[in-house]
Amino acid sequence: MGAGDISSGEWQTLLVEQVRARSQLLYRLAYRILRSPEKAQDVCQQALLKALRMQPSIREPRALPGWLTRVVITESLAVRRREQCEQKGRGAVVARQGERSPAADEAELRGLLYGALAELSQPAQAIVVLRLVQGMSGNEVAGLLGLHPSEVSRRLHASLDALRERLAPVYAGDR
Amino acid sequence: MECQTARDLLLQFDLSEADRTGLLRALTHVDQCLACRSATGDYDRIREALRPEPDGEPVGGWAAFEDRLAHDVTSPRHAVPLTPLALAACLAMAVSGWCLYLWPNRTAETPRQNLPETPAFVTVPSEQEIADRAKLFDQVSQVFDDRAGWVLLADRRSDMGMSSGAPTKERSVLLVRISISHEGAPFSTVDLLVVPGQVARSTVPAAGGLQLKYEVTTSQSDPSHLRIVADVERLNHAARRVGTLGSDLRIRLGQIASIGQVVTGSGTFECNVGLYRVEPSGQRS
Repeated sequence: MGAGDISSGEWQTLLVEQVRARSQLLYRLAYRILRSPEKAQDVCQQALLKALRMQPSIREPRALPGWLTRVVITESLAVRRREQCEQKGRGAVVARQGERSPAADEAELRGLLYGALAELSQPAQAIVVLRLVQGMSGNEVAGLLGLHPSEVSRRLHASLDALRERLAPVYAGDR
Repeated sequence: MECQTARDLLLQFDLSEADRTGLLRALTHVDQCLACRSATGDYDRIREALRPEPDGEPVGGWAAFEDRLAHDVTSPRHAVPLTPLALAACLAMAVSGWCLYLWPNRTAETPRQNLPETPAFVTVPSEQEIADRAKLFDQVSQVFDDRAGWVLLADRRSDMGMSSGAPTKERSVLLVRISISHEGAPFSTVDLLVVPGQVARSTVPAAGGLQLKYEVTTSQSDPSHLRIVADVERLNHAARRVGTLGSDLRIRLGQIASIGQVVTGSGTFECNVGLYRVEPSGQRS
């Protein structure tokens, strides 16, 4: 049975079940990327409202947990990237000159990394964030996203190579 | 062993998941392969930069957060097209800006000499205060294509809900002021601007690890008819109700009515409600 075959009331019930079962995971994913309770909550709300609207296009209700997870991650990365762009526009990024603290370097690297992550495909973002930011095992990620564990490993490898490529100038400068 | 295979194995991270013999061969390969050493070094730096940091809890705790999400899914106020984040940001800015502007005016209320029976913790909004709140409602509603059904203002939170019916621009708006005391002292005051016929549900953080969960039902045909339920909840890991104040009442405009008292393990709470009319936007300046 596809999601389009069930009534909107049943779909709401499914979404509420997901809220009860996964609100903490969804919030933590958003919070770890955004570091703001208000923004994390906004992203979770937006993901659920999107799911409410997208019922006809989500073909399989069992895919809903993975779908919600991916949407929360993608939206959180997009929000963070927008903020970074706005900060750059305001000239808030510290210039790369003079003495810098290790914490500032680390924060900048993390900012660049999240920016690069936002450019990856949605499944790639989900795998990197769930494995490295959320600390889930390969099997857990595979179960949540409906993938084979070896596929998770393969995609993680490809995603990290893509991130390496994007961050190569930074790494080269530090070597 | 090929570079690709070696890196795949090392990226499993959890040693329990990996084939240990294969892992040993992969480590030997990396030790001898310059490209793989460089790659795995970079992977480690990426892992380190993304490592989990301590989590923060949602505002109001996990249970309240879960309830808010569940309510968003089931509430008819979201049956209208999705409000983009940008609009929500406009709303937040408008509400917080106006709150900063309006809240200090709380002290400039109409004298209560005409209401000798009104408890000390209840304040009556001045005409200016009502006009300011009317402007706020208009401002919020405009952001949402004149579809705001209600706007709630509290000391620690602002919230709003969309109307499930037609645009509300030309409709009257009621100002419902709900005042709650704790052990006789002012505890919480909430101003709800609501289009008659709408139901407002919101949870407001309060002092002492408590929160107040409101449900206010209004009637389109009889604006003097209100149903108010206020749950006093204690926040630990989950919200636990410690008492409920509620009443189904008819109240004249400008009148203040008692919802009653509830004695709980956390003390005695008393609730009063005042009802005021806000002119339709067409008549508002």
